Amino acid sequence: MATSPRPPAAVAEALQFRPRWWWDPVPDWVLDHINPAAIREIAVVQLTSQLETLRVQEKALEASIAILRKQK
Amino acid sequence: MSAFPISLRAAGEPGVASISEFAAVARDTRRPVLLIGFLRQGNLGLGYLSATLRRFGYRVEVLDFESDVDELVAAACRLQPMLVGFSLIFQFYVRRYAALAQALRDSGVDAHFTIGGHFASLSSQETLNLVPEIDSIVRFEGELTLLELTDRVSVGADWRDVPGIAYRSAEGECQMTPARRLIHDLDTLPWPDRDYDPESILGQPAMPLIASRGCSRTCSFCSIHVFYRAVPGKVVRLRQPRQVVEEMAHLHHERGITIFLFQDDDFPLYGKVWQRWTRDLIRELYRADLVGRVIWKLNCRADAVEPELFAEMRDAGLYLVYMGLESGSEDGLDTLNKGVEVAQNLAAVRMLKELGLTFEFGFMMFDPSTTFESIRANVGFLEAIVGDGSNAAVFCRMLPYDGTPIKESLAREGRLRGDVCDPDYDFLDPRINALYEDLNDLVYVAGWIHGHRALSPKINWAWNELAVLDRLFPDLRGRARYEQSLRAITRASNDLLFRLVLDLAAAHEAGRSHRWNEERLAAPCDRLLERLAVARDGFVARNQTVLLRTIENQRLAVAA
Repeated sequence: MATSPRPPAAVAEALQFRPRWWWDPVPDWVLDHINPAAIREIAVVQLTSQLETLRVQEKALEASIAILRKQK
Repeated sequence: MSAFPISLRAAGEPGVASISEFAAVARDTRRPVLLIGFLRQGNLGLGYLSATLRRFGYRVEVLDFESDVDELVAAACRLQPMLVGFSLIFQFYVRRYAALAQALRDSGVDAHFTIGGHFASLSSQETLNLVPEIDSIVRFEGELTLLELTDRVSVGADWRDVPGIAYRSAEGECQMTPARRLIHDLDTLPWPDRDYDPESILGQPAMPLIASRGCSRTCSFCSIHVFYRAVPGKVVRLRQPRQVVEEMAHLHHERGITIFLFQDDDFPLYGKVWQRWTRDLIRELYRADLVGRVIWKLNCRADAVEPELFAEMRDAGLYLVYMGLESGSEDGLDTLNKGVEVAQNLAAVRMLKELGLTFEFGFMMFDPSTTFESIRANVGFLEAIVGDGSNAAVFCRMLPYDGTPIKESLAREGRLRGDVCDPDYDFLDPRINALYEDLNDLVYVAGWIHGHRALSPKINWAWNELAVLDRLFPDLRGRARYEQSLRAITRASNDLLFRLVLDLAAAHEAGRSHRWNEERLAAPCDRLLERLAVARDGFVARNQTVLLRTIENQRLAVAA
C-alpha cells in the first residue's frame, strides 16, 4: 500500500505541493496551545524524519562518491 | 481604477461629507503610516486601508504581523511613522499585539497607535484594557475613519471627535464617538493594494478580492452580522459587476492572475435580485473575454446552491465552492441559527457533485448543543456527503468569539469558560467534554484535521489542484487514474476518521476505555500521506513538461 513506486522525476519548483497558505490559520493557533507533551511528540516526529532524510542523503552521497571514484 | 468620490455620513451629523471635504482637509503627508496585520492569503482589509490612505498622498508601509518582533521594531524605528495601525483579525492574537505595541514603545516609537477589526470594534473596552499602549480604536469599517484620524494626527489636531473611534479618557474609561455609517457605494473605494507576490496553485497565481461586504444572515456563532448591524447603513452592499470584472481584468493583464478567490462574507446568490446580479457578473466576464482564461472560487451557504445558476457560473469559470455547512444535525443547525435544514445541506452537496464542481466545507462536529446522538448524526452526515471519497472530512469545535449571540447565551447559562485568547465552554453532558479532549488530542496531534500531518487538508489541496488542472490546463495523461487513486486515498482516510470518532464516542458514552492512541493512528496516517505524495507527485512529474509549457504560454499571452 505504502510502497507504490516513487515518483519518476523530481517535481519542478512551480508545481510543488504546497498547501499551507490555503489553510485556515486558526489551527496554527490551536497548535500553539496544545499541551507540552504533544509539542514534544511533534518535535520528535520532525527530528526523526529529518534524521531519516539525512541518512538517505548520506547513502546517496556515498554512492555518488563511489561512482565518481570509479570513473577516475 | 474606480473614480472617487467617497461619500459618507457620520451618524449623528446631518449632511454628507464627500471627497471634496476630505480634499480640503489639512494634512501633512511627510511622515509615513505603518500598518501591521496578518498577511497570509493576502489581507484585503489592510489593502483597502492602505489604498485609501495612499489615494490622499500618504506613504504607507504594510508589514506582516507574523514577522519577527525585532524585525518589526527595527522597521518601525527606521520608518518613524506618524501612525501605526494594527489589524486584529483573530481575537486570540490580542496579547501578542499588546506585546508588540509595548516593544515598539520601548524602542522609542512615538507614533499614534490605533487598532481595528471585529474584536476591537465589538469589545472596545476590553481591547483598551488588554493593549495599554493603544491610543485609539478604529471601529467597524475602517477606511474613512482611519483616513480622518490620520489627517488629524498628521497636523497635530485633536482627534477625539473623529466619528467611529474609541479611546481612553483621562480617567481611563472607554469613550466612543458616534459610529460612522457604512460605506454605501463600495465602488467609490480604490481597489485594494496588493504589494505582495501572489500565492499559486500549480504555478497558477491566485489573488483574493471581494464583490460585496456584509451578511444578511444571523448565525449565532458568527460576528460578521453583529459587526455590520451595530452601525447605521445598509448591511449588505454589492459592487457593480462591471467594476468587479474590471478589477479582475486588471489583475489578469497586469499581474498574470488566473485564479480569483472571492472572500465575500456571503457571495450574493440568494434570491432573485442577487441572482440577477450574479448573472450580470457572468455577462461581464464574457464581455471582458476572461472566460476560459481565469477561474474563481466563492463562499456561500447551502440554501444558495441552485442548479441553473451554478451551471452558468461553472461555465464562466467557477471552479471551487466553499460552503459553511456547519452541522449534520437539526439541533446543531438550530443552535447555530443557520436557518437551513440537514436536507438542504445534503441537497446542495448533491447538486454540486452533479454539476462536477469541487467543493470544500466548514463543519462543526462540536457545538454547545452536542450530544452523543448528534455526534453520530454528524458522522452519518459526513459519510453521506464525502463517504464516496469526493472530499476529505474536516471538522472543528465551535468557539464562542466575542460579539456573537452564542457567547452571550453561554454566559447567561454559566457555561462560558476560558478567556479572550482561549474562549471555551462546557458541554451539557460532561462526558462530551472528556470525549472532545480525547478526540482533539488524536485528530490534531496524530494528524487528520490539522497539526503535524494535516492529512485531510493535504488531501483537499490535492482535490483543489485537480480542479485547477481540469480548468486551466489541457487534458493530461493518466488524469482518470490519478483521480481514482485520490478518491481511494480520501475514502480510506475518511473511513478511518469516522471509525475513530464513533469508537471514541461509544467508549465515552459507556464509560469504558478504547483502543485508539497516537501511535496506532500515526502509522495509517503516514501511509496515507505517502500514498498521496506518490500519487500526486508521480502524476504531476509525468505531465510536467505539458504543465510548465502551459504556464509559460499563459504568461506570454498575458505579456502580449
